[in-house]
Parts: sequence; structure tokens; C-alpha cells
Amino acid sequence: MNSLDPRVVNLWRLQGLARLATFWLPVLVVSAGWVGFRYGFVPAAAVAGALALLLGVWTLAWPSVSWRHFRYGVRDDDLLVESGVLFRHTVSIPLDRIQHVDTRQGPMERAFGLSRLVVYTAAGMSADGSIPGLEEERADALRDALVRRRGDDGV
Amino acid sequence: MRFATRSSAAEGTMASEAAPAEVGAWRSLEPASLLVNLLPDLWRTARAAWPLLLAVFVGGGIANVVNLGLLTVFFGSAIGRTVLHFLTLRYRLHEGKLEIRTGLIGRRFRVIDPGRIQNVEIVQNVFHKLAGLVELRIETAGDAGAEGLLSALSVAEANALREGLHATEHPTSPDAPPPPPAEELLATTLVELVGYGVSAGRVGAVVLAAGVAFEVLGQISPEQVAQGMTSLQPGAAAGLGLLALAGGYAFSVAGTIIRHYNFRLFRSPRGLRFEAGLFTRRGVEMALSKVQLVRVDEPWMRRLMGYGTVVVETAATGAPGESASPEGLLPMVTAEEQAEVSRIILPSLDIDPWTAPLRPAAKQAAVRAVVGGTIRWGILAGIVGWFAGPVAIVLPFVGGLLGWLDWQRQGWAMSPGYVVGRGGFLTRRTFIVPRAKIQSVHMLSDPLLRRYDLARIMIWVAGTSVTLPALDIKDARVLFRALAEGRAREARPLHGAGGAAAPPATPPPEDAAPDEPTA
Repeated sequence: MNSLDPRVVNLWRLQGLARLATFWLPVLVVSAGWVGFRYGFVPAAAVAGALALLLGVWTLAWPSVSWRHFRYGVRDDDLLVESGVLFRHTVSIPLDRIQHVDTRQGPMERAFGLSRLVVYTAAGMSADGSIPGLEEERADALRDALVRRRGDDGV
Repeated sequence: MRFATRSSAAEGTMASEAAPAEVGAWRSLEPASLLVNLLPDLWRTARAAWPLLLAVFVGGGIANVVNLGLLTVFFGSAIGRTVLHFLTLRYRLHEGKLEIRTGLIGRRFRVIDPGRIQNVEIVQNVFHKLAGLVELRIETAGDAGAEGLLSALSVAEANALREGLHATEHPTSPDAPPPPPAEELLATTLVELVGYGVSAGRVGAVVLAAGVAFEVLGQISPEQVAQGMTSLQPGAAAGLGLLALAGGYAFSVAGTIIRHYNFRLFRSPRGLRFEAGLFTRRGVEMALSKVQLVRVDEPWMRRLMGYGTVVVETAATGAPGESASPEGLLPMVTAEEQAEVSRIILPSLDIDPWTAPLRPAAKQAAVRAVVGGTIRWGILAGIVGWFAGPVAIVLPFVGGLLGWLDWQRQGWAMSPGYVVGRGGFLTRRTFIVPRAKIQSVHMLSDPLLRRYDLARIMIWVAGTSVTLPALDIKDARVLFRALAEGRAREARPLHGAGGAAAPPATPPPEDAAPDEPTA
């Protein structure tokens, strides 16, 4: 089984910090203001500051834990992806069931030179398997290898 | 449901007369489609624009002029759409494929390969019936809705098109004998449909609706409600309750009869054909090789009557607005016939989930089932207790008991060709999945499951999924490995007698070496 490119840890940290700055910090500030009017600004700011610190530590620490629990591998018959720390998820996708494969890059992923591989079968409307944090050439090679397989698609 | 195996090509309301399709020539919809399509479209527009219609009737002044203008635009565009649809839609069978082109400014050209068709549905609503037309819906495994929709064809044209598509996929020599006529396998009587409607009635929903209505009335006009309650005799109150229940059941029965009236299942050379409906008659035809899942649902009341409902899923996702409905549904099948019906739908079925020994859910899952049931019914008790009082305290205990009974009845088994599973106490569900159709296998666990060394296995086929009972984590790993192996997914012949039920295959030993990843 393979691990993701280690650079993805910093990418996830950056994405987490962006979420923190654009969503959680404004929510904390507004909540602290609302609570502050009723119970005093000092305790409200202290609680909000503690929460912000906790979220910050979580945002910086969790990606490395998450990275250690993410594994993938292409076997003879299937693609195996293991993910999740608390909620663990292992998926096996038979290679002959793969309908199409995408590689995707957002601006942050491009800056890190990473790609996300997304695998679709006929099972449903959403992707069945997704592998983030792959080095660009590796993602392209994996995509080409997966779509080259032929067989009965089971539908 | 009665079993019958008689030839009835002429009896199927949608299977008679097939005019030879003119291969290659572009064809248009019947002129009567203008009216057939316009009336439902106008009705839909009226439903969507009812606030405006109401405003026009009760309002006045300059606002009314604006409203009238908007209504003219809405209804005008509905008429325009229908006319444009009729004028621009053309279809043909070309080089073995169905081609449909439509649109004036934004043009669309769609090609449907017969090999990709999941099922073909012929629908005849009241307007179609008056004009002697039908609607042909062709579904593939693509996005929601019918990929090929020909809204108004003559019955002969629709049948010819259907047979033309089948002949392209399964060519026969000109000297070959004509295919046997369709054979009626099953039919449902009106009494059985009433039973289906009654057993589908939502007693809980009626009680909840009554409770909510009572609360709302109490908020709006507490004095009147209090006065009504004090003057209401106990007998009258019970009568009102019974009336509400009877109303709920009557509604359910009426809906069932409208949807499933005169249900019949046919076996034709093209596969299975399901026909049902009172005002709108639907005929769904599917090849046996396209069946992804068979499920038998037995709500407690239906089970007491000795029946269950057989649901057949293909990879199609249903018509717009009906995406959740199964592609094939046999409303009432007796308990004795369920295994036989399953074998008709899945001829290579090598295990009988009703007689084969099923492996039970993990022992430690019982605690989880009881706690889960207690919590769910505890929440319900919180809601019901609002108007039912302290008697609701028993509900969490009932929930815990039901959770335990549910756990007791869970089971699963795997044969070389199929995975079967069963669960549920109040509503028993049995599913059969051909392993050859598995799209992906998922093993899931969370901290609570891991606390009890449990895991869940979820199996996806095209369009739907099933979850096995909670398994011991070691068993789950072994089963996951067995399901993930490709060897069992070789396309198995989906025809033949089926044979006797084989005992469930034992999963390979846990120490079997997994395949090494190659990348």
C-alpha cells in the first residue's frame, strides 16, 4: 500500500487555516460579541480566544494524523483506498468497474504540485473513490493506468 | 398474487400490434401529441403559478394587469414549448442505434446504444388513452430521468421501436422460428391491492399529523380548543381518532389502486415486463441481465397477511421526480412464492435466502441495537410525550426491545454467485445481490463500532447499495477480502434453471495472503 505525497500535509494545513480564517474566526468573533453584551466582554473574549487556539492547534496537528491513516494501492483486480482516523473507510473498486477517472487541481494544489484522483463507477452519481495529494505525474500515470483496463462494467 | 403461465401476447395492453419500423428514416411524433403534451404541461404551469392565479381572482387594479401579463408569459411559454417540441423532435433507428434530435436554438442530438439500455417503459396516461397514443421512455445507467423520451407515439410504433432496438442487440437469422409470445407469470387481484394499501398505511404519520394539528390549533385558538376538549365526549373523541386512522388508510389504499391496479408480470423474449396502473398505465420491460438487486419488503401487517413486496432494481435511476422508485415492483407476492419469483428474476440464483442457513449478526452488536433503539424511541417519546403525557415513558423500553428483536433477525450469507442478507423485525427486508454486479465494496467503522470490535460492510451495485448486518471486525475483514477478489465477478450466465440452493460459501481463511498492491 502507498502513502500520499508528504507535501499534502502542509496543503491540508493551509486549507484548514483558510477555513479557520474565513468561517470559524468570524463565527467566533460574532458569537463572542453577542455573548459579551450579556455576560461581559472579557470572559467572552477569553473563551473565544481559547476556542480559536484549540481550533488552530487542531488544524495544524490533524493533517499529519490523517496522512498516516491514508493508504491506497492498485492490486491485480481492484483499487484499494483506506482513509479516516475516527471514521475509518476502506473501499475496494474492481478495476473493470471503473467508468472514468478524473484528475483535479485547485489553485492551492497547483502551488504544491499536487493532484487529486477521482474514480467513478456506475454505482451512483458521486465519486466512489478519491485519492488526494498525489504528485502530478503520478496522478496522471495512475489515471491512465486505471482507464486502460477493459471489461464488463456490470450494468 | 396468483401464478399463471399462459401465453398472453394479446392480453398485455401495451404489447400488441407492432408495425415494422422504417429503419433509417427520421420520424416525428404523432400530431395528437400537441394536445396530449399540452394539457399536462398547462396543468403543471397552473400548479406552479397558483399564487398568481389566486391574485388575479381576488386582486384588482394595476397589480392585476401585471399578474395577468406574467400568467400570459407562463402559459404562452408552455404552449410554445409544446409546439416547438413537436416541430423539432425527430427520431430514427440508425446503424443499430436510436437517434433523437430536438431543439431549435439550443439543439440536442442524442444517440442511445441498445446495449446500454437498462429498461424500456411504455406509459399511457388518460390523455394518451383518449388519443390512442403512448409515451416511450428509454432508460440507461446515466443521469436521472429517461435518456430517450418520445412523448407521443402510436402503440404500434412504440412496440416496433422497442422490438427494433431488441433485434439490433440480439440479431436472429431470418430462418429462425418466431419468438414465443409473452407469458403471463403473475397477477394481483383487487383484494390483494387493498391489502397492500392497508399494510402500507402510515399509522404513525396519522397520529403525528393529528398531534401537530392539535398543537397548532392550541397555539392559534387555545380557548376554542379547550372548550372543544371539555365538551367532547370520550366516545366522540375515539370516533374522531378512528376516523383519522380510517382516512389515512383510505388514502393509502386509493393511492395503491391508482398506481398498481391490474398489476401483471410477463416473461417475454426480451426479459420481464411489469404492467400496472389505473389512470396512467405503465409497462416496464427489462432484460434479466440488467437486474442489479432484488429485495423483498415485508411490513408486519403484510407479513401477517402472508405477503411481501418484491422490488427489482436496475442501473436506471427512474423518471424525473420518481428517482427513488424502483424500476420493477411486484406489490403482493405470497410468502411461498417469493423464492420462486426471485429465481424467475435471477435465474442463476444459487442460494435461497428463505431456507439457507444465514450467518447471524455479531453477538456484540446486540448492545448497540438495543441502545440505538432506546435512543431513537426515546426521541420519539420526547415528541409524543408533549401531548400524550407520561404514558410515553414506555416508548424507550419498546424501542430497546424492538432493537434487540431486530438484531436477532439479522443475517447474511454468500454463495459463489450471490450475496444475500436479511434484517428487520417490524418490517423484514431480504435482499439478493449478484456478485457479478458489484461496483464497489466498502468497510466502515467508527469509534463506537470499534469499541465493540464491529464493522459494517456496504456493497454498491449500479444505482443502489445494501449494508450487511454489523459484523465482528475479523469476519468483516475476511468478507471484505472475499468480496473484493475479482474471481467471483466473472460474468455468470444469467439464464438457466437455477438449480437447488447451495449452502452459503465459507469465506476464505483470515490468514489468506492478500494480493500485493502493484502501484
